[in-house]
Amino acid sequence: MPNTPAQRIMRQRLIPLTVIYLAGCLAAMLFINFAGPPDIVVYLISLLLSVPLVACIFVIWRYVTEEKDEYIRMMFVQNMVVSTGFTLAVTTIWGVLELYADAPALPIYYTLVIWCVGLALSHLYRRIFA
Amino acid sequence: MKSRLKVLRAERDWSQADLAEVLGVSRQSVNAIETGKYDPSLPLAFHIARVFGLSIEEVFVDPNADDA
Repeated sequence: MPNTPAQRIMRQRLIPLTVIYLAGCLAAMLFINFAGPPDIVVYLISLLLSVPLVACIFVIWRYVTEEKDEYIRMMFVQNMVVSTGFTLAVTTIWGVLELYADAPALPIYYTLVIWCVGLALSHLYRRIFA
Repeated sequence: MKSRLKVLRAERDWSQADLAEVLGVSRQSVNAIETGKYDPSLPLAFHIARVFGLSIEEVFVDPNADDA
């Protein structure tokens, strides 16, 4: 994928958010394990930890609106549609497995992870076959 | 949609990267338009035509021309 100015800006926004999220996860894990805070504090910490992830979704939306190269934007949007379909398919299949085959419950948190995997797979498919 | 982009580019001895730079798009975009994988928007088609000093019809081949 070429490096458009909008892609560089997206990367510059995603990297610090990822670092903040990972550092936050580590700090939260240590704090919760060693300080044993009350439930309400754990809830607040969890909500705070989700902020950088939600911000990542916002950054992706900003990228789509800021990308000036219409062909690159179209490909990215198509990849997003594919990854959304991939996520719906995986979560639906897993849901049915949970319902009828007693498969272990899939944490909702993984929805974003699955979506990102779908985005990467769609991008990879285009690179190899398109 | 077919276009004469490759021919027009060759006449000026421009690479895809040269044309992409003039248009302010990626080389992949120029390649996709040249190979007919992607139909440019009207503003981009006008921009391309303007760069070559031609009308849109002189750059792009109307796929429904025979139907008219």
